[in-house]
Amino acid sequence: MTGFLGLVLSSYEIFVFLGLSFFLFPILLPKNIKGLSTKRSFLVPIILIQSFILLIIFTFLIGYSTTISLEGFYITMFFVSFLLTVLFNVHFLVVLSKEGRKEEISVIVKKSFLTLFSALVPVFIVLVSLYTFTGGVLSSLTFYVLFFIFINFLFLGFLTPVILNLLESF
Amino acid sequence: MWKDINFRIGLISAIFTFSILLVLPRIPINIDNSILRIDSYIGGYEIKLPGEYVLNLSDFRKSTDFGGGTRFVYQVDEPKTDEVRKVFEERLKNSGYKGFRIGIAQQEPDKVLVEIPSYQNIDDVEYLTQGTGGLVVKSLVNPDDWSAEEFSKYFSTPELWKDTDISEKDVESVVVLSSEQDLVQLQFVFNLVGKQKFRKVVEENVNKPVAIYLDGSLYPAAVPVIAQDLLKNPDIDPVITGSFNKKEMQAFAVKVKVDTLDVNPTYVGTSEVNSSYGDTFMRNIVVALTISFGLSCIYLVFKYGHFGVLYSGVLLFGSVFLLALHKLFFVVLNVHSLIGIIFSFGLLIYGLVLLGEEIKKGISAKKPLDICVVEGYKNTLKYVKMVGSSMFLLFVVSFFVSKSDLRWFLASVCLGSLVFMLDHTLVVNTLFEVLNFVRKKK
Repeated sequence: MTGFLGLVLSSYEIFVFLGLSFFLFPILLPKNIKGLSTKRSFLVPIILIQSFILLIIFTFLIGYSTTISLEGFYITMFFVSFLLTVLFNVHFLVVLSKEGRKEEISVIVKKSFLTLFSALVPVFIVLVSLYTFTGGVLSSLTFYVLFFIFINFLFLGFLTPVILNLLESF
Repeated sequence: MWKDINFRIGLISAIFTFSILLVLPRIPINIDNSILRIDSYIGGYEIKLPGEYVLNLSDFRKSTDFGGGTRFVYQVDEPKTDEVRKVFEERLKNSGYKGFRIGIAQQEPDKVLVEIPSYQNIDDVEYLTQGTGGLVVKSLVNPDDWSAEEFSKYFSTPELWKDTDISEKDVESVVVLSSEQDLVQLQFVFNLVGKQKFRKVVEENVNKPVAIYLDGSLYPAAVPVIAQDLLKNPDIDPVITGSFNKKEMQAFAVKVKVDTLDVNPTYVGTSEVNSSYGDTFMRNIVVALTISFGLSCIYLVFKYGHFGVLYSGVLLFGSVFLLALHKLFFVVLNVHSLIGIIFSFGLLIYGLVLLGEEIKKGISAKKPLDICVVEGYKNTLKYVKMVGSSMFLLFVVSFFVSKSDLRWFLASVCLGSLVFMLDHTLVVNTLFEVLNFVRKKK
């Protein structure tokens, strides 16, 4: 198997990292998610589904052939996008735990959005500065980081509430 | 002790000062006038430690992409370039070299290029990349004609020797030891098959010499005489002593463990290479990060008012400490660690924004300011500890598992999560007390 999937399968760090993440983050989340029957372990399926979609996006974006010199870069970008997925969802579930059922899910999503966006404004500044002052040589880095921040906001806005409602209904 | 604000202020000041001194490059200070005469420097320290080890903190370690390095060029028959490239890679990896690049020259397909980052010692590269890595043991064609008085002719006349079927395939390892009078000892550790072959050679050549050819050389590196003692202990790993070049022999010890080359690459030359992204790349990165830091501080002040000034101070501490840790732990600066630094910076900002929003919520609910600060800090601290500790654990384990360049991203975020936790557990609450946002703890 060639391309990004081939890279991922041969990068055992990803499996160590994913395995540990799925074990650690649910344990470390706040114990009580007030006002909801949702359990902490719902974090795992949410992240699993979103990571799988990220993998598909990467595979189609990068294609079935990868140049040797950029192999490691794509693996690092996958790690970054996975981390963003985890952080965004952990943040959302913590906000959900504080607000409970007082607010609609969409309001909680909006609150999470605003806080995360506020935190990411300086990151956008750093990326744009790096791109500008280095004469565009770091264009791949800038593009992919911005792209996956955008994808994770889309996940948070549309996918996470849907998955959460689905899991709740089970 | 931790509750004593003076201790915490002292600790923060010490960490911040050491971090700045670590991060700074060497800046010469030369003042020569009638009042003052100074000829010194600040930053870029090289600290001598016990055991003649020098902790070199003069500059960040950079990959060849970021900081350039040294390029070695070798000429090889074109069909063999790929084989040579693979063997070179194994040899350099086994010698502990990291971050190097090996490729074939685009315009000259018979040239193999080896690029070593500038922070690495290149003394051994020449020895590692020359020679086939082969070992051949030969015995005399006419043992009865052996004469100790004509010893020198046995070095210069290859026709006097014949193969004994002992080669590098029969050797598990070569151990290089130093002995007295600056002589070097080589111990050949044979595998089971090699021990049998060597036993036969010993039995047939007691008190006679054998020739040891290393690295595909036409002439023997050593012509030791088989001692009588070896007959009594034929399974012992033999040792030869001579005025060998120790670095050359250490390199040979590495070469003998990997595949042998059929050809001996011809060394063409060495040159310095600059960063792939241009000579001013690192300077541009520093300018970009400094400007974006300044703009981030303005953003925090704009968003949170006088709290934003405090957050900017925390961010400054965190950013400088993060870079200092990168230098102290010899994290190589490349695209991966740069992504890690950006991610860590984002994490620091995230913690401050969370805190800012919690305090803002309290102020909007018309609570007293110190209550808003205490509650906001408490609510954020739990979350920060959770995220910081889990990320640190994750990345530490993944770092030790990873063998590729990804480990520099993992190292960077690992350090970032440490700084993230320290910023919130130590710096934020101390600054709140110092600036009288909360009552001081006694």
